[in-house]
Amino acid sequence: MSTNPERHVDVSALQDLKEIMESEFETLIDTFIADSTNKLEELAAAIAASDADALRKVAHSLKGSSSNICAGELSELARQLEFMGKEGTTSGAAAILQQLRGEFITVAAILQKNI
Amino acid sequence: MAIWSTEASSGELTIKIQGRFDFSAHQEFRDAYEKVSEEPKGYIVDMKETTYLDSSALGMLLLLRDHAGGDNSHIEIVNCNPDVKKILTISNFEQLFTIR
Amino acid sequence: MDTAPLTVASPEEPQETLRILIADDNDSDRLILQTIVRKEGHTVYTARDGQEAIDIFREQSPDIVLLDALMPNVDGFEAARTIKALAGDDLVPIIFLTSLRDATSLADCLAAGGLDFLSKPYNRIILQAKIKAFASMRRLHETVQRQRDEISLHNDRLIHEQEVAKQVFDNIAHPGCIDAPNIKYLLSPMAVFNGDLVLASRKPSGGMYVFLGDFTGHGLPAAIGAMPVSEIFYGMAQKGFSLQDILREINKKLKRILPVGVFCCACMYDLSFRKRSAEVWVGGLPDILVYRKKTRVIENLPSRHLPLGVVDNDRFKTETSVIPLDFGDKVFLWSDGIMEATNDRGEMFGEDRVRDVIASTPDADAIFSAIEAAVEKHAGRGEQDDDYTMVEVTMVNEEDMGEYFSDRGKSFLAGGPKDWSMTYELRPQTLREFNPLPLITHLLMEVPGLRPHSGKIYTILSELYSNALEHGVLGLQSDLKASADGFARYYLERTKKLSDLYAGSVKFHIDHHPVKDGGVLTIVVEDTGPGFDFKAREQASHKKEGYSGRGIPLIRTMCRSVRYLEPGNKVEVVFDWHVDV
Repeated sequence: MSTNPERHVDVSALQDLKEIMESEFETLIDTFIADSTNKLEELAAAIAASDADALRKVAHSLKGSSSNICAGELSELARQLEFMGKEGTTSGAAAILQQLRGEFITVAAILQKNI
Repeated sequence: MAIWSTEASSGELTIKIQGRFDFSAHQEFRDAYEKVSEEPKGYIVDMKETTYLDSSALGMLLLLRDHAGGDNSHIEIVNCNPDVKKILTISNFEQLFTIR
Repeated sequence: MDTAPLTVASPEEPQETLRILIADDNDSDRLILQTIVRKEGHTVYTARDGQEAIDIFREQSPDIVLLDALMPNVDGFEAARTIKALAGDDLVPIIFLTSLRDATSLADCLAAGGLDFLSKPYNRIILQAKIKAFASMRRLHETVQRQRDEISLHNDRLIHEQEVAKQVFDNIAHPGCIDAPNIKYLLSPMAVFNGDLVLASRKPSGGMYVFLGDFTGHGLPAAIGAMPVSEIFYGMAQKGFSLQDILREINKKLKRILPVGVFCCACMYDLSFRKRSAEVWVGGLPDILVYRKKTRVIENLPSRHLPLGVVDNDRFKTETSVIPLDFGDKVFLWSDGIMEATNDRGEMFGEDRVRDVIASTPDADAIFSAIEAAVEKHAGRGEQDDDYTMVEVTMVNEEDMGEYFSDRGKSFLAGGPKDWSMTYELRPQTLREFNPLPLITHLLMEVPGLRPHSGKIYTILSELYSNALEHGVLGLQSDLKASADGFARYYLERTKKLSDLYAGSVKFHIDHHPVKDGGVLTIVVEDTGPGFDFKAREQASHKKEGYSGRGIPLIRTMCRSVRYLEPGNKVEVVFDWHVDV
């Protein structure tokens, strides 16, 4: 596990977001983590069922929310999955999902630390 | 359409009308004789560059005549092209204005 | 008319609270967006999918909608289309929230009715700026819409007012005899609001008047003068006033009521069937054309006068041109609309083209419609600067007018008092202070058709009355008037005696009964004087010279008979008249 949080989360942008959200920040982090956890399951299901369209939609949503939460790498991995879905394929998606799970655990840890 | 006026040292105000002389010229034409520093002794309406006039222009000339003292006014309408002259003639404006 | 001012909202209103709908299926994104927007002081409604967004929109009709493109159930594109349809004419700015990047997807957003995009991650500054921009766009749209509605309301009201005014006008300017078989005319139904006016009336003495007027300006200012013109025209024409009298009266009225600069170019045409001629007055309108049927020659009658309403009556001139006419000859009257009808090259139709059309139309009765068609072809069906108003009057044999005139003529002469008699006695106080002649003349002129004889009738009445008053009641001797000195003394004495008058009277007995196309008017004047030896006077009358005694011989030339009745204080005049002046 990497020790440099900047690679996973834009911390200064996250601080700005924290200022905007004020008391809602904790709720936001909790919501993001819960929501994303669900999405990881949905992605796994879509890949298992070779459902490229479902893969595209869920990945698209995760891409957007991770970018808003300042998690650039996570957003990028989601984008790759979305792209595959759009191309109509799920092959090779499992490997990226694996990578994405690891990234999500790291991001979630950094976020919780920043509350 | 453009209107401008010049005051001569002889005390006459010359009003020149360029282009079509119709209702759209109403305000400008009024300004030309109302916004003068001194009351002119007479008026010259120069139609050298006037291409056309309609009945509202005739009305404006009557307003000028009224402004200039009605029956005692001295107004010359000069340099009319044949079309303009014809309209003035049909209306018999030579009875009210000096048309040269 | 009250004119409500058009309201204009100021384009920039700080601190405006808007109601904003946020639809995003992603909980965390929605939470961020909602927090940012709420911090700006706006009211936020949130939806998790497209269907929820539509439902909330229906209930709350928010000002701005922020819509995620990809959502479960109903997606952003479809929601946008439904919301646009629900909003109708109102502008509801829809901003798509998207991390879509490809051009096709963005184009889809626009096609669905989105006005802009907001991409993730959200940038607070950009979001604020967009909300502000769309709020002012929305206000602008509302202003434009409100103004459009107000203008349309205004226009409706104006049209309604014009229709009412037109109705009033039509009630005054009843068609007269414009539909007579020898008249053709072209006049748009709302021409009065272009300042154009066509009037035609039969004259009690036979013949007809046609009046064509063109007021300066457009709309109500142009129409307003039409009312008094038609009222005067029809009122006086029916009473038999002359063309000159009618024009003078119209000119006087217009000069008085119209502001300087507003006037009426006009021509008036007086057609006499029996004399086979017409009298024409033109002031400020294009040349009248006379078309000779036999020779197909066209003659011009140019405008010789100032338009109506320009100068006071003391400078107003009513000289006319008299033109002899054969059966079938036609006269064309027009406003400048026909002559100035302009084609797309800016060329006016003009008299030359009119002459060409007439020359190339051998059938005289087809000329009118040929001119009409040629003008329309020349100008195209586009906008008209002025209206096309044109009248053709044909000289015909009155008998050829068929039932039109015989019926009209009958009813025309049928109106008004024709068969009556009256006695009017003037006692001293009235004799001292009142001249009864205008009143009696006025009463007599109510007899239809008698008006053209008013001059003679006035002469008769005034001669009889002064004889009765001066010689009968006041006892003045006309011998006094034999010399210039005496003449003056006579009138001095008349004044003195009249002011001292306390006894005596003059009695008029007037009787009118109609005959075919005319009538017989009998006037008897009786005074309370002793009478005079009229037989002796009649014998001597032809030798009379000097300043008096011309009255009765003059009357004799005008009447069927003048008769004194015994004992010489009573005179009877019988006056025959006929419409064929």
